[in-house]
Amino acid sequence: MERSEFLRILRERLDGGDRVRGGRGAPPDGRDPLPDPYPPTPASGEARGPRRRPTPRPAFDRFAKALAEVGGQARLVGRTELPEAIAEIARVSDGAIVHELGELGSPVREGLARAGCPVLPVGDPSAGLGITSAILGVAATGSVLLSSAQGHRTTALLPPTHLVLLPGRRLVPGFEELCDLLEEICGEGGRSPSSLVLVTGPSRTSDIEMTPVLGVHGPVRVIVLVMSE
Amino acid sequence: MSPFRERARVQLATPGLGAAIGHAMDVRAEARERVFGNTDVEALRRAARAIRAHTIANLPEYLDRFADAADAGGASVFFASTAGEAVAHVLRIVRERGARLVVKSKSMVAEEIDLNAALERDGVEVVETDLGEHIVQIANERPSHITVPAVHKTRAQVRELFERVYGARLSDDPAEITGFARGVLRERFLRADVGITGVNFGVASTGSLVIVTNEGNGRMSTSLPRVHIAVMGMERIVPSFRELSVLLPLLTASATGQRITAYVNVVNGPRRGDEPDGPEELHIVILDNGRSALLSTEYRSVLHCIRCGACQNVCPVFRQVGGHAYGGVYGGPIGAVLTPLMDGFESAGDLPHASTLCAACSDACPVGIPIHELLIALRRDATAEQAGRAERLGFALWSRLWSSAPGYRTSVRLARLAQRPFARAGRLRRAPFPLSRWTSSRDLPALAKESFRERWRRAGGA
Repeated sequence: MERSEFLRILRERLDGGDRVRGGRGAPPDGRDPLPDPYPPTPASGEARGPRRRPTPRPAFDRFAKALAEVGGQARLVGRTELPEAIAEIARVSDGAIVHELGELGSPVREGLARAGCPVLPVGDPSAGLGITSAILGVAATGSVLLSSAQGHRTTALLPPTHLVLLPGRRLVPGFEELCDLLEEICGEGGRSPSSLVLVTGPSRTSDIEMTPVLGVHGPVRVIVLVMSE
Repeated sequence: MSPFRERARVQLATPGLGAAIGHAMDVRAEARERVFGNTDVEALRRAARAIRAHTIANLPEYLDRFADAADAGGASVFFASTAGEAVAHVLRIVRERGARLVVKSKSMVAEEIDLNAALERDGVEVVETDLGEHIVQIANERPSHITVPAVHKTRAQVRELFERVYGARLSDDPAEITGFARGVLRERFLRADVGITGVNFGVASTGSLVIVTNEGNGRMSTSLPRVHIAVMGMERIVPSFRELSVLLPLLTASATGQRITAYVNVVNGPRRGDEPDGPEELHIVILDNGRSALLSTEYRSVLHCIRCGACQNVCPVFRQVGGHAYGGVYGGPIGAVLTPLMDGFESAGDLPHASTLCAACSDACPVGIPIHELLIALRRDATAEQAGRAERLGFALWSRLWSSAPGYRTSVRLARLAQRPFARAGRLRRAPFPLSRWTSSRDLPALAKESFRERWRRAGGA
């Protein structure tokens, strides 16, 4: 059906419904305006959350705690420690697929070399490790945002271990701040990345008798290296 | 005997079913409690209700904006007024691309329009990739819960199913079964030509699709095949990411007790020229299928539903009979509202009666849909449309009799005489038709020997 016809029918029915306004369950105001501001959710940063602490804990601690709760790990590393941190994780892997990492590329390659872990071509099913970089982290939920503009989507998806590099200054308090950024990035039509994904810990299911199992289609291990400046 | 009763009887006779569903629902309810912690749930619910009401009241404008923005992002948007139109459009795309294998990520709308069956009739292999949905698919069944599709299956049944269908040798360990399914499905993902997904939210300001999953099948389905087709109920719109920041955490917390799901996918279009991978085409199908008819009725708020399943988790009826007893795509309280509205009273007029009207569903609904009130309104409408002549005559007579004091007193006196052969120790255990419909499952207290008025008069009251 044509869009205009589809929308015309909707308009007609909405106008016909003015007598009942929003129907049962709608706010009493028939014009149904949007509220402002919005209240905090369980994914809000603490600054907007209901709990007020005298000294707010550093964002990294909250990030690491939230990520640990869902079975992931976060470590705070300095730039110079990066190769060793990478090597430690890569030692247990047969091979790694690496995102285009820009200036981080050389410390990552150095770490892999130290561990004797070969760099495999994109999509290689034998790779145990996928290394990507995130454009944003959310402290309240332990999440990282990956963009399809940064490299292959499959690198963060197919290998059983996913290692994410996140610059510490890109850590925002809550899901609201992330949404502000998404509104900006996604509003650029054809210039926006085709896909963004917010990753929070390992892939999981509890579809069989509600028993939690980690690692279904995506990685079973998620490690985020938060880089201090 | 009505169809719901028959289906419910079958489900109730399934050993262990009630316990399994009850356990699952308790796990969900506890997780939900934990995640909300000291969040002001009422304030959130008020905001969410206002956002949904605003969006639905302005749906044509937001849909228009969404379609323009999605278009600008490189997607092809199709508006389908009926299930038939939506199915035909998807089939056309699949045929034109010569696709043989379709991977599907969980979609209630696809269930609603029975998309799998249509594709299979066309000779296309369709593989459900959410573990729960896959279990239900290879068992030739339908999902029994919105967020836990295979809640009615035990681990032993799942193992047997995988052994029978895939010739595997497995233990009852859910981790082992999951690992095996991962292998089977990974191969399908890599081979598939088309990925079909549902949509949790469509963001009007940017034309983005938001799809939440925990397993990662949504990412697979939207990344690996050459073509991505997203089917979306027309009411899945949010004005902007600002509203998403309220509704998405509310959805995940209410559905699975998670602060956020493992994956939140934001899809803006097909793969860009400078991107190394992703689908070459993105098709969005926006479905009406009877929804617009609700806009001018008192049932409009049912379109506020964000499909979290919280009402199912708390419903005492659902917990006993499970989703299959409802006979539609959507079970539980919200299904008891939606199914008769979409399919008509003829086939689903009994569903609004599958409720104790305890209102636990309305209390649990994160967007404040007064589900139990809608159920009462539906009972009224179904009766107006369907009640037989005898029933109407009976109620008319009763109403006449009880609108006058003498009529009331006479009827009570008559009833007291009539109950004599049946009353034992102040209770009626068995009574003739039509009261037998009540006494077949419950006792009825017998009428007292003396009414209050009679006793008052005897005691010399004024």
